[in-house]
Amino acid sequence: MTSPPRASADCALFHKSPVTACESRAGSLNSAGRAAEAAGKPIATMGPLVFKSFVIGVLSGVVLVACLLHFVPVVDQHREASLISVQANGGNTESFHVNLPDDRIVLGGAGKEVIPANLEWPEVAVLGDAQAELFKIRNRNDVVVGVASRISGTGSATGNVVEWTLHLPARGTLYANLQPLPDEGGSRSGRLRAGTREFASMQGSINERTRAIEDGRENDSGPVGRIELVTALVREAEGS
Amino acid sequence: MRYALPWFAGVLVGALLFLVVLYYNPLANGHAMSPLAVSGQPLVDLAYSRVPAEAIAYTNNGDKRLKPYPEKIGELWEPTIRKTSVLVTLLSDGSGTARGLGVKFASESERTTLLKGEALIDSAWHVFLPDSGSLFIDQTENMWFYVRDIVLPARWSSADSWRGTWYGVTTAGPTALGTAKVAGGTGRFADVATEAVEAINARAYSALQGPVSATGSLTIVAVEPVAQQ
Repeated sequence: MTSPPRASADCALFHKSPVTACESRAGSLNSAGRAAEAAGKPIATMGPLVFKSFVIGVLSGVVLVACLLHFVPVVDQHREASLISVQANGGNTESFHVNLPDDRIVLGGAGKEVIPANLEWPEVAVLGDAQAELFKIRNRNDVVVGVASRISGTGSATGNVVEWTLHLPARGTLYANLQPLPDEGGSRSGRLRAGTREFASMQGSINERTRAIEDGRENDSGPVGRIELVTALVREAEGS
Repeated sequence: MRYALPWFAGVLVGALLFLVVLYYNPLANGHAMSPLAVSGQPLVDLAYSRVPAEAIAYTNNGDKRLKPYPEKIGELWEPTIRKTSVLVTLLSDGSGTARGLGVKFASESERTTLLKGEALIDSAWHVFLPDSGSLFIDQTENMWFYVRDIVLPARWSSADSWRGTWYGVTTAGPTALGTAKVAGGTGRFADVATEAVEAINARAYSALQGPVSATGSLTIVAVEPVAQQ
């Protein structure tokens, strides 16, 4: 099969000189034509349909990726059920605890035993007797639900300070100041200063109590002590 | 079936094109300038090293490129805290003088939307400055521009590293102006509510071990003129 004279002339006119290109095009058209002929379709509809399929594919690809990025969550934080007791005033009480020594990640302070043992506490005068601790915190079911920092120390501007920050990744963060000295029962109580996300519009108190576990040990690796933190929070009134 | 191949090729090209546009999105721009720079209010600047080995302590789930420091520190492997990291660091002022302690909690945020150029981190700072007071900072950070400009180029580099000068404000909320919320605890900051921003100044990054030379800075709006230290 050869191209008709008119088609060759058009081709030469359009491409200026590339007769070889037209010849090769004619060759490919010949094979495409044979395929189209075999399929019973006119040769003129093959190219545009393939191109249309490609364009539809491009649009589909864009839409698919956009939907994927929009609907499939990139981050999915693991959640534990909030074990909350509702109070008569509409607020709620929740208790957390730290098993000692296993849940203590960091303990640092000048001239004190440090955890981990190879931690290098900075020898800086401004820190004075400041002590920083980092813990994993557990809910009532003894499941780890977050991490917490406890900073204590004395500063020229702050006086004695005992503060907690409880960070629960799936829920939010709580920040509280406690009384520097414990009461007769060994507890410290304090006020919630700030909360984020789930705790953003809450106010209330936090109570800290440290106790030794004397008869609760089931084996040698069990906890020897426990820090209990009880929050009593109520949602702030609208406009307050 | 004849048109399946071009369609499939089109899907691949379309997906690739979309990801390229997303990566180079000219409409998504990071903050090169702090929203507090033009506030006219007195500011407290605190700096810290973002290199884990230069901190007092750093921990995460242990599976990431940034390795916990020091070596024997407990790791956050439990399901509820696997996507969280904690940094305990010394905070210094602009002249490099130590001012106090900072503990930073950072968790991957479920509000992350790559479609909008957002790789969000919910982070909180617990800051204790014995000579000034204590405070708490709540912020949402957008790390997309840091990842795009530093982390990915470092991974794609044949040397597995990135070197240069990069400055960016990472704080993107929660306030409408894109600043962090500050709640005062004690001392000068007692019962104070103010704003802050955090920024990163990076100079070198290794794809194998994370930041090699990078400084973080916290800029806090002071509620009263800050006395010269």
